[in-house]
Amino acid sequence: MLKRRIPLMLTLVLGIAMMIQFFIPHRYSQVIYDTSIEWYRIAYSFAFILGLSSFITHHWRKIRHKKEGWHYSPVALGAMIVMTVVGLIGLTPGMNWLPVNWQGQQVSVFTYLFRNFYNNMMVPLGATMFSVLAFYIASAAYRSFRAKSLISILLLSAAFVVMLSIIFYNVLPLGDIGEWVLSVPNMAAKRGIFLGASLAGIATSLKIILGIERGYLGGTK
Amino acid sequence: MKFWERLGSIDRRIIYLVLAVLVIVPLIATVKLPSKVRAMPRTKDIFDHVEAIDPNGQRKAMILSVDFDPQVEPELKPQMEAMVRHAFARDIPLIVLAMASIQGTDIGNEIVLRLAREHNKVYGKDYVLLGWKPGLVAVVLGLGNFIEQVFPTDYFGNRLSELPMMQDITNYNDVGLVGNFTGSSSYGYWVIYGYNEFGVPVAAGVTSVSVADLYPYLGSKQLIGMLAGMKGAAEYERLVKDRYYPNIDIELLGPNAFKVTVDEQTYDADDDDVTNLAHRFKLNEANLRQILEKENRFEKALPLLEFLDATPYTRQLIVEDIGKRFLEVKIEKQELPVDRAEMLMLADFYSVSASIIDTILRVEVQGLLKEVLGAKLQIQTADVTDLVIEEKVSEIMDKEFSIIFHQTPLLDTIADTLILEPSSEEKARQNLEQALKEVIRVSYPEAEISDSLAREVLSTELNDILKVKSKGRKRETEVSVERDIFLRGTQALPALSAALIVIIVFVIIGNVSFFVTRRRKK
Repeated sequence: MLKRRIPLMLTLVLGIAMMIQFFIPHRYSQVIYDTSIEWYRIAYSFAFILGLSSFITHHWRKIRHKKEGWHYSPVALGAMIVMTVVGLIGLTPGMNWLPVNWQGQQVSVFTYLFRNFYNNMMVPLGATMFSVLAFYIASAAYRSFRAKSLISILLLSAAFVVMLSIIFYNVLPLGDIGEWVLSVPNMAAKRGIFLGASLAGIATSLKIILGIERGYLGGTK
Repeated sequence: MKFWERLGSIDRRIIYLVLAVLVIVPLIATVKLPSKVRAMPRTKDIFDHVEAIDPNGQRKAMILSVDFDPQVEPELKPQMEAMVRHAFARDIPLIVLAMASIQGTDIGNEIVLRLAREHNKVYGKDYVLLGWKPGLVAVVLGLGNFIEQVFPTDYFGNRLSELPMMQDITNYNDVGLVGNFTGSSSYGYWVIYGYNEFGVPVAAGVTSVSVADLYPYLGSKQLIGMLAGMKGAAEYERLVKDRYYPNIDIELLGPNAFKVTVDEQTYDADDDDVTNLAHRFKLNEANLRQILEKENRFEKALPLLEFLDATPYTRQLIVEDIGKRFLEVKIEKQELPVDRAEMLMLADFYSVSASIIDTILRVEVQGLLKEVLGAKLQIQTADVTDLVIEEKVSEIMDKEFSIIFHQTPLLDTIADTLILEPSSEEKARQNLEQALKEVIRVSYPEAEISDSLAREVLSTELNDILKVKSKGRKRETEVSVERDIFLRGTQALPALSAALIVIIVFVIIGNVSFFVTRRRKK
């Protein structure tokens, strides 16, 4: 019982307290606010420990049970361990173990490895993954972007206008029409979505504070 | 299968190939844009806001939050570079941090450190790197109260309170603009908790796919502006370049008469105009004048002033030792014989780090010294230890050209008389120094030469001897300094346009095929 009641009580009390605090411009209220912000930062850092343990457990299980695609897991774990080790040692201020010459400077071999792994593996791999999207978008647009109904015609026209406004930026009025599409119809639709999502967010927050929504405790039962 | 049906089922590999070719070609061939990029209002708003920072002498900083990963670097890095250049050009104190992406720390630091070197900015005085801090909301809120509370130390571990720049910057009251570069929606935190809570102006640089999401914030003025993907970067680059980095060509027509060309506009100028020009574009006036005064010698250099704009292509600056005191500078197809002082001046002028030039010369001198000490003093090269060489090189480099002492015949004489037969390396050095000291005393009997002065002169002389000895010998060492690409966004815009054209064309093909085949079926 306590396992559930204490978190629920804490959420209720702190949720209401922080709501009230927002409207009280007193010095003590500000101190509470500042302290809570610091606690928040500290608590947030612990999420990384959770993430790390989850990552290791997930891949370890995959390897152990030889699940589909398990052979990628040792690579993921190995990369994590190597980068953690070289990063922790190499980026320590004043670290100069096993110095090597890098870009005209004497740096530790760990710093050298960390920078090289990052710049020559991480950066190009990441950029490649994102660039591949352009190919998928081109192929998908060709196959499925069809003007079958009024709505799809509107969508197609808007997409063409915006794309053409980027290509022919100086050919008036194309550039301005593209800007108009984004800043008038697009903004109107987005505002509606944002307002709806924000109201839903407030409702969900209230449900959490009042203990109606308990999903964050690990299930509603 | 009929033609129209076939047109509707093109193999996706063909689409990939067409797209790849049309994107790669403009990048390799560096296709130039037919006309200048026109800045959209949302981009111009950020530029105007940065221009308005610090109007009355109250020094306000600019915070750049680098919240993107390498995945979106091609779109966001040019945006950030353009804004950093703008801040540096206007002497706005710059604070760089990462919040939503830990990888943003390295990306941001690399950009700022590189551009700071280019603009001669000093760490701690002109810019500060704070690194990464977890917490998103807490970080944005915390910075509004007291920056040092969130970041007690900077990225390098220095206490913030010890950095001169941070003495006047406490919280958002001292910040003129927050620029958030992100591939996610972290701009939302800055808007909700930075702008709404503390009123700090926020601008966002985002990828093209996120652009539509930001319009509600732009409409409500919660964001003062937005840089939209590659196009936004190109627009901002154009604004910054037109204002601070135009192509400048100055021609000396006669005493107090110049012809100045800024971009494509040419006008006559006098001394005062040149001073104003130097001031406006932050040129080193002394260097500028020195170059102009040496009109004959630097005739070829004048068109090179265009390099001030750091055009979008990679340039090569080749430094070649051609003996004596002279070096040869090759920039593109132009060659200029210069001495070291002029070399350093040019280096400064073209924003090439003087330390790079020093390194180049150091390597040159080091090799030469090793060779000459080995051959001339008749000792084995292997015996000339690196330490000795390094000592000698430091001596020369530190004192070189500090005394003007051009006496070529004298130097030749010294060189010729230096046929020594040392029993040891130390003895050889002593002999060498003694011989030089004697020559100096004979040449300048009236001068009272102190030991320190003698040492200084010796260093210069020794260097000259080495240069004399290298006369006529073709040096094989060539060092290239690659300049960085400036207008990244502008350069990539043709490739972006090509990609969009491919998509449009294929969508049209797909739709035409769809309608024709449907009509025929009916």
